[in-house]
Amino acid sequence: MTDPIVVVRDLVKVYPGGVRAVDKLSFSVREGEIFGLIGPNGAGKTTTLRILATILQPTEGEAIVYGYNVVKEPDKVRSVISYLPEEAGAYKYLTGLEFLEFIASFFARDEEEKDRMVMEAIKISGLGDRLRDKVKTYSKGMLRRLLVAKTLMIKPKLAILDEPTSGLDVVNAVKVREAIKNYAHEHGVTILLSSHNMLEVEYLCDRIGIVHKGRLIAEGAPRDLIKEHGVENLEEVFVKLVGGGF
Amino acid sequence: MSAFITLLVKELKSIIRDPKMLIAMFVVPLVMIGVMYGIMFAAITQQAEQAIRESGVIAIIDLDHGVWSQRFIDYLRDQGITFKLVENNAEHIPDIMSSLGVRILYVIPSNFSEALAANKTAVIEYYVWFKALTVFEMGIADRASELIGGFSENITRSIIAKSGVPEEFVRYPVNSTSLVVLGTKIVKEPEQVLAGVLTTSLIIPLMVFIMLVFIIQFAVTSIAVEKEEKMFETLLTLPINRLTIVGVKLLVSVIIGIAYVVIYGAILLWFLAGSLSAPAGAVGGEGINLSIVLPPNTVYYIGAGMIGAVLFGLLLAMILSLFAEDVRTAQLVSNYALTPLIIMFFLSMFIDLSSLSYTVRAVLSLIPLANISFIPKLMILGNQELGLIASVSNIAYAGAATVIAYRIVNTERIFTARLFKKRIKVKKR
Ligand SMILES: Nc1ncnc2c1ncn2[C@@H]1O[C@H](COP(=O)(O)OP(=O)(O)OP(=O)(O)O)[C@@H](O)[C@H]1O
Ligand SMILES: [Mg+2]
Repeated sequence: MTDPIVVVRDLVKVYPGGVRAVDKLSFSVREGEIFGLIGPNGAGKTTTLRILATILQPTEGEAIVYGYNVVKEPDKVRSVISYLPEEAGAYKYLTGLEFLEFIASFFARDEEEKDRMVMEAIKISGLGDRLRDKVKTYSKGMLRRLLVAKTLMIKPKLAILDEPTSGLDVVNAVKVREAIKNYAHEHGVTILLSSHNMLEVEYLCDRIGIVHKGRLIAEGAPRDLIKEHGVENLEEVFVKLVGGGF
Repeated sequence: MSAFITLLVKELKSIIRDPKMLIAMFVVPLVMIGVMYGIMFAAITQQAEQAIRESGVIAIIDLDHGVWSQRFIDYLRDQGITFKLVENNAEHIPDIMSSLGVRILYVIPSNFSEALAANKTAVIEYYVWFKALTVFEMGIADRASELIGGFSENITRSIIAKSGVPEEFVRYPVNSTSLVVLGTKIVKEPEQVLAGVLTTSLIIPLMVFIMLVFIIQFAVTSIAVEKEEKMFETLLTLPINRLTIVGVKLLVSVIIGIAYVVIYGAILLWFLAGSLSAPAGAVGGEGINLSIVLPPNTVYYIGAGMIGAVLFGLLLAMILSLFAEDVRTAQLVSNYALTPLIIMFFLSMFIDLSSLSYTVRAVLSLIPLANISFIPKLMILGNQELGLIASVSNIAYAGAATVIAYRIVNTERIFTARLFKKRIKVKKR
């Protein structure tokens, strides 16, 4: 359980406009753990996750997923990850079920496996009969649950979730968090997620990395970080490190 | 199930269910091609009338000097036709026509009156000078045979009146054989020439063009729909070849594009058959022997150029589609690309290459897509090397587009490419 499944080393991303979104970022995620990237708006979380998901290419440094370099072997990386973008949607004119089947087709080796994936997604999403309705009739929260389900159902080696509970109300957020946690521990799926919500990461994550202005300023288990900084909770760790100036 | 089929099925579902795709499928092509056809049909009709006006002066070589040849000349005068009687017969017909500037020349053979007097069918040869090789010159050929037909009927009536002979016997006392002057050559069977010119310089390029209009705007819209549905980012991380994602969309648009070509092709043939009395069968491509008219390489040049043009169009569609952010910009982008194409295409139909200098011809032969319809004209004008350039340039453009497309698809540009500079993101939360 100690083999790192994600290794990020001195990662730099400068956007064409000159914005230095990620600046010498390094961290690693071990197999089977839930790792959370937290940081204020614009810290570079989404950019980092996009690089790991082979959408963006780093300016400098390297990123390895399951032993594959994201720049040199993007195809291999794509075969072991499942990615939930921060602002994702689903085809509005498909039903929830059709959408899940669509995604599952790319990963399943046969019909049986596909059905198993879809069954799993039905469980994770908790959407029940509403899955037979068109996606366009879904609320924001329902859509997010559908998307979390499609990301996890395929049992990837690594699930990358960019703010999985964004847009969800308290009840839905709790349900999704539980679903993620249970699923990860049940199937040994490694999860890398980003979040603003300290409660969320404290509950969910085995370890976290705090990112600020593209750099990692702390890394460790939430409890250790709280102890280390002599404070009550993660929020205070965060404020102490980042400074109250935002 | 393979990724390809999964994507294909999804694509078809979205065509059936998504109003945005329906708009891309029907409304835009119908409006676009409808307007184009409207302009084109109006232009063809107008040009055909113009051609008839231009054919006003007709040259006649009267080898008969008999009663009946005089009657033919009188008939033309009655019809208000201006004509010139040409005495000299030793000269080459194309030279006579170009020095007089006439588009129609009748040759009345020496046995004309004799034959008619003996109740035998007589023949008037007419020469039609295809100078510009635009399709509108069909009007001239029509005019030339109409006048002979009219005269023929005129005789029929007077013979019937004189002798009480049943009309069926003398329905066509005068027949005609027609010939076409192409450059300095004389070619028999003007229908073949027309069919050849029509097919190579109008119908095939037009069909390719309609297909491209459709493919470009459909592919651009359907990629834009992915972005609007916020599915593009997800698609890019699926374990599938990225070219497959775009390729499926292109395939669907090609298939639907072919359907459009069939429909619009039928409309075009129907129009041409009706308005210009072109033999629809010949136009349809049956029995056209292009080698009569065109230098032997022409067909290969056109074929290669066409393949290049279609590939270029497909790649252009693909590149453009990656720049579109949402359906609205997609339509904008495809209009930006299509408007110059449409203009070029119209130019290519109306331009009389023979009146342009070599340099201008060379420049025109480099215009992608439109230059295909120049190929047969360039070949007939003797600029074979320009015909080759026109053909090869399309393949070269396709090659360049391939390099660009490859660079976009396999890098982050597929995700970051934008036509309009993105506004600085306002931070939420
Ligand atoms: N496509 C882009 N072009 C230029 N700059 C960008 C682009 N995307 C993001 N940025 C900039 O990069 C920086 C990091 O952005 P990123 O989206 O990675 O932050 P984040 O940590 O995910 O923030 P949030 O919590 O708001 O989602 C920001 O300053 C942002 O403005
Ligand atoms: Mg983000």
